[in-house]
Amino acid sequence: MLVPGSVLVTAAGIAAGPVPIPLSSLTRILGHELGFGPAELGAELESHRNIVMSTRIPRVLLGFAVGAGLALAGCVVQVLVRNILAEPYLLGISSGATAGAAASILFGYGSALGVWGLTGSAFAGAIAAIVLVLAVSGIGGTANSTRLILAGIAVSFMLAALTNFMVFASQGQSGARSVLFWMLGSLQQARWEQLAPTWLTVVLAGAVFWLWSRRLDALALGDDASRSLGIDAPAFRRLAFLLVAFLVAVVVSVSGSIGFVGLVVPHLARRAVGAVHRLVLPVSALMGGSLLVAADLVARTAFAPRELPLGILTALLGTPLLLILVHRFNRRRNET
Amino acid sequence: MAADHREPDRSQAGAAADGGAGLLAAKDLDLAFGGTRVLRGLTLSPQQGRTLGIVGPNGSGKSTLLGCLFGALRPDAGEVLLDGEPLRRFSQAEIARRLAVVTQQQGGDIDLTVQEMVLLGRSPFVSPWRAYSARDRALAQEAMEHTGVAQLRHRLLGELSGGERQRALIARALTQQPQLILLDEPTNHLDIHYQHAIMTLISGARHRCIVVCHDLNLAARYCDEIVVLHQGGVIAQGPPDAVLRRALIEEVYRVRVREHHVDGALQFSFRLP
Repeated sequence: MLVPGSVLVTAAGIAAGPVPIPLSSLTRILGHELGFGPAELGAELESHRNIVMSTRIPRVLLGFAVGAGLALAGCVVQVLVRNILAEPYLLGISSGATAGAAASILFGYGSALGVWGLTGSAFAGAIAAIVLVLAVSGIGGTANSTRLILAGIAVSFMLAALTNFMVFASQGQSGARSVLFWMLGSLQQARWEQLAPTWLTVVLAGAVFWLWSRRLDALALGDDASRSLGIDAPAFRRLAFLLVAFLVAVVVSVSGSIGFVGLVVPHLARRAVGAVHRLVLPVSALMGGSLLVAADLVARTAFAPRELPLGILTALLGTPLLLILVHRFNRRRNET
Repeated sequence: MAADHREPDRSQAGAAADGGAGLLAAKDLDLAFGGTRVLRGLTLSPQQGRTLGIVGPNGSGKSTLLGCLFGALRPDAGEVLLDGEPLRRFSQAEIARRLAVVTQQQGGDIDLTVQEMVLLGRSPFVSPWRAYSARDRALAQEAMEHTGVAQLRHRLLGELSGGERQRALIARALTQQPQLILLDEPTNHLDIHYQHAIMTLISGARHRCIVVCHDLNLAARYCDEIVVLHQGGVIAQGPPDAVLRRALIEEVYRVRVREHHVDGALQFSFRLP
């Protein structure tokens, strides 16, 4: 059900927009592109083809990968710190990646490496953020949830301030605008050449996480239980955090920091299929991808012709759930 | 590669019949936490009995010793030996195929069902590429029936009572088909019925067990070998009747002791001196 759903959402994401494109035209355009449709499209179809090929398809495919990546990162981070309130955005990983990306844009270092220079810089920022958060909250084995979230929020603020300061110090107008784009999160600048690296990273990271399914299940039981099952929990946690940080850095470097997908989606996925990661991970990836494509659709069309930055929309949708979870969390802790 | 993950095929009943395999010992363990020496030259002989109870007052190093025995804690000096070989030479996965551990550590927010948790006992033997086999599922089912949690298998761990949870954890340990099971105060916070039910389950297991036990009377009744820890060292090890002497308990616990014999087992009552 989830797979056809994802395909449907993706098709809708391509078809809808300021210029709506009927599904019949869409199939003819795709047929033409793949070489088994009509050879000549005619003027109207040709202009649609331009829209579909140059903006809609890269945007939707990138959005799917970004949503899937954020959802996967959320799933894994929640197990690593054993707290369902954790997600890349709240733990400061996204802000770290944003700060890294901003530094690269504004001061141009790593620019010799092209897209990967930006990603590398974002990765360094993400790693720095997560190391700082974990060091401050003193998580060796079992994390104190409150401390962890507080540390994450403090580090997020700090890195956001750092990013703002870099914008302030850099003077350049265009740089400042593209950094703002990173901070708000958007798929507006999706390009074809971003698709391969992003999809590759998301699929590979997802595959590794999936092979780690039982390790993640075991880690959810506690460090002692994981050790009993043959897993060196601290070492595994470090390795997994590294992969999560890389995944988030790649995602953030193409879409900016989009929050709460990593919080909402794993929660919904666990409600649907239980907590076992062999199921939760693929389900989260599909849900995350579909959700982000759908959210982007709303962001593009709700205030057309103006476009709502995607990060604002996901935050508006995600924070109420966070509040509910925090409330429930408190009540449960008070009972025990 | 998958074949390397599989242990030789043997039935659950055969686990303890491996003779000398799965024997832990410790030599001259020293371990300090932040300047406080918790273990001081602790030496533990390989167990003779089936169920070894580790007893001792608060702070005597019971849980710390247990942590060292399965590699969760690394001693500052000395050596833990598994079948005569230093434990640190074994990988964590190799240890998991020999030892199962049940501690009181709670999981977090992400809650598995009883069956999912018990099946994880097979994870050290299953390649990450593969699903659990029919045999893995049968072993988990057998363990859940043995510990009486089969009817709870679809319940979430967080919904279980203390006693149910403890039995589910033991089912996971049994599913691991270890040569030895280590348990850290498995009767903590349980009512009297469950204290005896859990200790019966442990002492009746076909596996060798090492149990950290707070309650001397439970240890005396259910263990066939006792280690008494005092100030970070072993001060006695042997059969309960030989080890749990009045004078020793009075000295270690700083209480007055009266001995009784109940159903053939030595039992004690205590009062302050």
